[in-house]
Amino acid sequence: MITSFVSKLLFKINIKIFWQAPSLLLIISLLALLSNFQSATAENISSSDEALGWLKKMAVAPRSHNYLGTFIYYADGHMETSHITHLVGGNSEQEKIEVLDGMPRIVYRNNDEMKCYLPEGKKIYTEKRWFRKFFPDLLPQPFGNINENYQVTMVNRERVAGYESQSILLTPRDSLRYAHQFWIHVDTGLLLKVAVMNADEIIEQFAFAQLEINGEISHDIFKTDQIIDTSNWQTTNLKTMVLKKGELKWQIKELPTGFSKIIEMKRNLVGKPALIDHIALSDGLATVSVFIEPITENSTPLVPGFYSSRGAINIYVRILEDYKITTVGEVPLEAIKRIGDSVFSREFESTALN
Amino acid sequence: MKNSVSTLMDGELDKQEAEKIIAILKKEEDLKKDWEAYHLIGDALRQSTKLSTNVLPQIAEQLNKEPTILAPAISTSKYSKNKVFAYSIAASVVAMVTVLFGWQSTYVPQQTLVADQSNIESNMPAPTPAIMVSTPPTNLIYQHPPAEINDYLFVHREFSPGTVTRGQTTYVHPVIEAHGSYGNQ
Repeated sequence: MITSFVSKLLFKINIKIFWQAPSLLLIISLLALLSNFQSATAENISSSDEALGWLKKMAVAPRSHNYLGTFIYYADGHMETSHITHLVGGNSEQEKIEVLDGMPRIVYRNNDEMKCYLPEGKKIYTEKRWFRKFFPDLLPQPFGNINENYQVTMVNRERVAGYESQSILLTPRDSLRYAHQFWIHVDTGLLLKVAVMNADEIIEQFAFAQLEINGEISHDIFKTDQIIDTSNWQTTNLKTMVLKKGELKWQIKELPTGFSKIIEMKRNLVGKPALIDHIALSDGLATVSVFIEPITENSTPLVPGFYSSRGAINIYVRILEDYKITTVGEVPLEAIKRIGDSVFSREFESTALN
Repeated sequence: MKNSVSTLMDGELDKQEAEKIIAILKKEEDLKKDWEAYHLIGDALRQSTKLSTNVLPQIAEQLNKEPTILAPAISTSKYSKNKVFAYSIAASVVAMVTVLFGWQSTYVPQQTLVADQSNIESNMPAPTPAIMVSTPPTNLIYQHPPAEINDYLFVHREFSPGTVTRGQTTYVHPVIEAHGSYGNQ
């Protein structure tokens, strides 16, 4: 009887602990997990003006310096080497990038006109890139809102590709973006190396292995058709139609903190007869694109869910009514999901509210 | 009343009293929970492999909220694995910790009564469904994102940070895989 009483008493004490424990523990474990992010996020500490100054210097550098070099992209154990030639003159900018590993790809850019050559498939894709053209106006003060979303700090001086560089760290102020570290050439402000990090893990990085700054560059390098015979190649023009803000029937209900819409447009994609809707968002550094297209009988079968690409890119596919909404960007899944889930159509708005 | 419930469970009530308590049990949700909890604890103490109550509704709910990764990047790098599986690991860890703590809290005062706790974990069926919830059926696992996503990535690159801040890395985000439509056509 005494044993029975004692055990009953213990049961009763335990009942409380037992029923509270799971929920408490859920919270505690989640907090413990979150603390990893917390420790890597900077909350209310302002960025140093000197560090922000370095970023400004970095943003304008490509418009005032010639360079020629080889850089390496590294992510998920995959390495890719590219050769870049960059020439500025007056208000114009010309660039050639040749990917040296894997499938050959050569990209030529003449100001806002881009041509991508894929020699294996004998294909050329051309595109008029509006973003660069609008660039200074689009960001009235370069990095205007960088300080709201990232804490920018000076790290140290380091040698990269034979040049003295200043290292700058951008620590995210919340878990909706990744940390970035830039290594900036002290004399010219050119970016020599960049690492994108999730807490302490490097997700992807670009780094120059060899670089020549402000050397002689021949214009012949940019004469595309003389270098390769492209007479029987197939050219596809990727067209875009920029819309006014709010003109698209698709909108995003709640933008995550720090993100703002930079453009809405309609564009064509290879193999798709109809134009698809495209909304681009930015937090001053990281960008997210939302693509909306109707599901037709000819659509490729699709599975809603989360996908991961190489490096910092995350992808979220969801279906709303008869449309497929694909959200992609160099931000954590959390941000991708929030943005993707916030997309709605004004046509369905009344239904969604019910 | 809880006292009566545990007395009933111990089989120490006479028929009349037992019927009365059972009738109340049917009506009162809180008492029903106590009843289930007593049985669960009893099962736990007896190291029964069958639990009389589902202890995981909260965890299951939590896991349902977690995104499921359908197409982890192929890689041997610990970084990408960490990224892709972070959510499912987090969920499983939460489930494990919660369940283990639940069991531990049951055991603590009774430690002297339990001779061997070493096989509790292996007998415990709870974590298995937790892991299952966050694992997509095999027919949904993509080795790569569907090819058409590469088309999206291709046009998204214009907005990649490179355009604004990394002028020299524009267009080279290597997202055009050999299997993508831009590569093969």
